[in-house]
Amino acid sequence: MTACLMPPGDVGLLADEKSSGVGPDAVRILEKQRDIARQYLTAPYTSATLRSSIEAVLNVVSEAGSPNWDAAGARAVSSQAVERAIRLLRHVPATIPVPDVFADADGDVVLDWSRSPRCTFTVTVSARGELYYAGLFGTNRMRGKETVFVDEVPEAVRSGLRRVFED
Amino acid sequence: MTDASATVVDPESDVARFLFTGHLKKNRIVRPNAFMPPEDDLRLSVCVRDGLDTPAVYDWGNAHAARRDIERDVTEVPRGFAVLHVKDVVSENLTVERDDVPPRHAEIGNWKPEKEARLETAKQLVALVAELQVKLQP
Repeated sequence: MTACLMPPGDVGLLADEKSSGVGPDAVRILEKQRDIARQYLTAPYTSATLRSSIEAVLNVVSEAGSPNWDAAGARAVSSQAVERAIRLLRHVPATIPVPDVFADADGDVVLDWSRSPRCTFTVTVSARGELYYAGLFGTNRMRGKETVFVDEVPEAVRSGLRRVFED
Repeated sequence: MTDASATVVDPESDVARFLFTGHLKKNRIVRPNAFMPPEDDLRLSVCVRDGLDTPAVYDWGNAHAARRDIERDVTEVPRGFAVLHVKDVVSENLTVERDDVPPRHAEIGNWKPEKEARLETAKQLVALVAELQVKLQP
């Protein structure tokens, strides 16, 4: 376990100091990034993996925080989806690598763990707290939905991660 | 809703799905969102690739698939494209129908409405990509 206590003044290093966006949306996004960084990245005992994962989520907030961020009608990534994604990541074992994090057109946060196109597991976190997951493991496939996510990783998600990294 | 004049694309044909910045990881890895239709429009636009070489596919994409944000006065042309065999798409219980609006435009339809099902299918399509072309960025 890596102990990491960061002075609040250094939060700015982990969240954009300035945004290229304009208007109230951009201001709100910047404030949300700083809130997240201050809350999660200054806490003690934050592993390097979790820090990197949270930073990846913050990057998504920057990229997809405004409506139509993809110029194809995508919804802005919601702050609720962001918070729930971080909550999930806090409970993922530190031995699991940092996921690829991006937004989808519905405004949900996507966490993707892939070793290859056929050894891959993806979890989508919605603003309503639902988890949609799917995995490919060779010729085997899995998918499902968890409607309630409290502060632990659902067994189906744990299973998907095990199949990617332990099989 | 399928256009009544749309025709089913031959299973022996290939289609190209254009890729933009958010669809790619590290320039060469396609993310599942490249093949994930949004929940309010369960259709995925593609170009029938038959007879087009790589530059011609890019020209089609630049002309017909570029994304324009009028409000921010931003236009993003495709960074690349992924080719799928239509027979592979159909094997996922999807349809590929061509409306030629514009010429060569087709749509992959018949997606299941459940998000987890769409996600699984999108991941499978990533695994079925037959050819990937990406413009390297500095």
